[in-house]
Amino acid sequence: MEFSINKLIANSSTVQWGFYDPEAKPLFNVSSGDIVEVHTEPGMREVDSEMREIVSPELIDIVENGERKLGGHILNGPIGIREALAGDVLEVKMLEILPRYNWGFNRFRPLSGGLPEDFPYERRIIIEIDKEKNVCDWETGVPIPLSPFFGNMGVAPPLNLGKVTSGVPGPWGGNMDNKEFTEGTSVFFPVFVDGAQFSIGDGHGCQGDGESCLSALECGLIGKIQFFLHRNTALDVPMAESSSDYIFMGFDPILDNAIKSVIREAIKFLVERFEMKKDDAYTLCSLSLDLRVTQIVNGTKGVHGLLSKSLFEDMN
Amino acid sequence: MEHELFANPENVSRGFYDASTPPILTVKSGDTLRVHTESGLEEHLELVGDRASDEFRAIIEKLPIGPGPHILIGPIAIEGASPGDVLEVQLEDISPRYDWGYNGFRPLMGGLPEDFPYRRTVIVEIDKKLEVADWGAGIKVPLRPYFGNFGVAPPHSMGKIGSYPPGSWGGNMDNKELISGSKVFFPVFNEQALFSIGDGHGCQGDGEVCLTALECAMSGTLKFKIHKELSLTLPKAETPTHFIFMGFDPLIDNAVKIALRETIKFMQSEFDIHRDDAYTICSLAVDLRVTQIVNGVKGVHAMLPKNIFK
Repeated sequence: MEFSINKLIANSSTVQWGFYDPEAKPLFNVSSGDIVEVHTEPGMREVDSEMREIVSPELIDIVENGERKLGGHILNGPIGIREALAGDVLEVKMLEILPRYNWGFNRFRPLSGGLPEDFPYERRIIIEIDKEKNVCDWETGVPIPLSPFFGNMGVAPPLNLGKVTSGVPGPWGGNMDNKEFTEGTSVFFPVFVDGAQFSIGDGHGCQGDGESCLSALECGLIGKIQFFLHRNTALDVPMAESSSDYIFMGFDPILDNAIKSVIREAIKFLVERFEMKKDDAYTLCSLSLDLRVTQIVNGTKGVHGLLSKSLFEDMN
Repeated sequence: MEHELFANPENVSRGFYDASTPPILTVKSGDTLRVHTESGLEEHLELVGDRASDEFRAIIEKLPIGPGPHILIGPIAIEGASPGDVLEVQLEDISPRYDWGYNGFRPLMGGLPEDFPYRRTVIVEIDKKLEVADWGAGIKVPLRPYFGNFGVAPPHSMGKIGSYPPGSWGGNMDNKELISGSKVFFPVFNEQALFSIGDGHGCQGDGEVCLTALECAMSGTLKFKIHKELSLTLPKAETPTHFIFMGFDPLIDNAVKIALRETIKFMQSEFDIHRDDAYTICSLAVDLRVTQIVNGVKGVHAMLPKNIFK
């Protein structure tokens, strides 16, 4: 079967800058199975003189002519998914993710980040991206391997929530900043409005679990993503599947609470998908579910649980 | 020199760390010690019947339990260790002793006490040849054995403390990264350090979410080394691939901050990296993991990859 391929390059008329909006109209519609190639820009609220020398004309266009609301992330979209209805599940598969430019940046600022008490000042550094060697470097002598993923993606939130900031994660996805969402991973979202209305951006060239200082290697990315609509399943919060793991997510301002959400999602999945007894699922989580701190810097923090798919090879 | 200890009522502390408990063995820096630990409570003894070792039975029958539940071999005196030193413990050849272990949870404890307000214990079969664990749920979990609970005696002023929470002395860290091939470094609080170890875990996920791991008797080889030149406030560890920094706190949000600060401090002192750059490296390359959420004092560990430092 032939799927259509659309290209979506970020500019002032193709992005939602800082928000997810259940009432936004789609830029275009695709069908289940279709592929979209997105070219995203890193989020910034202004282009200062240092940045002006390296950024693309499109990013300048967005910052000068776009309308920013609520948050700071530049999100390509929304893309409508034909026939998607509230209650469905939208699968978004990351087919390919590549850095777009040879630069990115990292920054922290007062009252934000993981250690605001220790770092009560602003700092931004431009980071060189070496696509050939697949590392980034800012002259510390510590080149860090790239592992690109989109930090911020999701469907339109429920109508009664109205516009939500791109700064936090939630049931619609949003600013999840989950470093597991690299090439080959599928992310599954609950659909809240007709057409699902998917948006994506906030490229991260690399990031540790936690995104400790506030930001990752923020950079432009080119991604090939494929959409699949699922009708016979339901979700309350996004989950994901990589080639090796099932990934469950919890979001809460307090990590201890986010952890509980993750364990509950994992147990529910094991009971529903593999017909395990609840008690056995709890034990299996204790023996095999790896709890990781997704991010501590988005107000609503995140935890994710990784459960190896190899455990279920005989059961599928 | 090489030493070997099989857990029995004469050489274990059942549920505590205590600077006043006399050592059961003295070793020198550079010595190796092969330990064979036991694990369990009276309920497990009853469940496994004849499969229990005589030593395990004797420990349960003869020794009072408390304040914690863990059977710890020790204390082992390290000759020449003094307060302010750092004790390095290298871990090798860790493997389960028997073909059984157990997992359980109980009311008011574990990661989801609201959802599981009852007691449950399962005996888990350990297949040493296939290196998997199985308790009849249709799933075989690969073994990845390590010791959950080990450390030095806490400061004398703390008195006898339960083996349940982790702290600056180590204790119930339940850090699944500390498998064979890893090294753990502890601050020394007392003369001769007074090291204890037990609580074998055949496998565990980050979080140990239900309360216990695959709890089992474990054999392992330890090599001790005293570092006079180092100083530490919290335990840290090293595997062939990572530096590991730990944070302990009743709230995970606080434990995260402690682990991050330790990581930044280490990059500054070890690699002469500016603290702002170290903070950025944490954001780009350090993985924050939930060690355990079930020991009252919870744990987070930060994994700093070694391969980024040339």
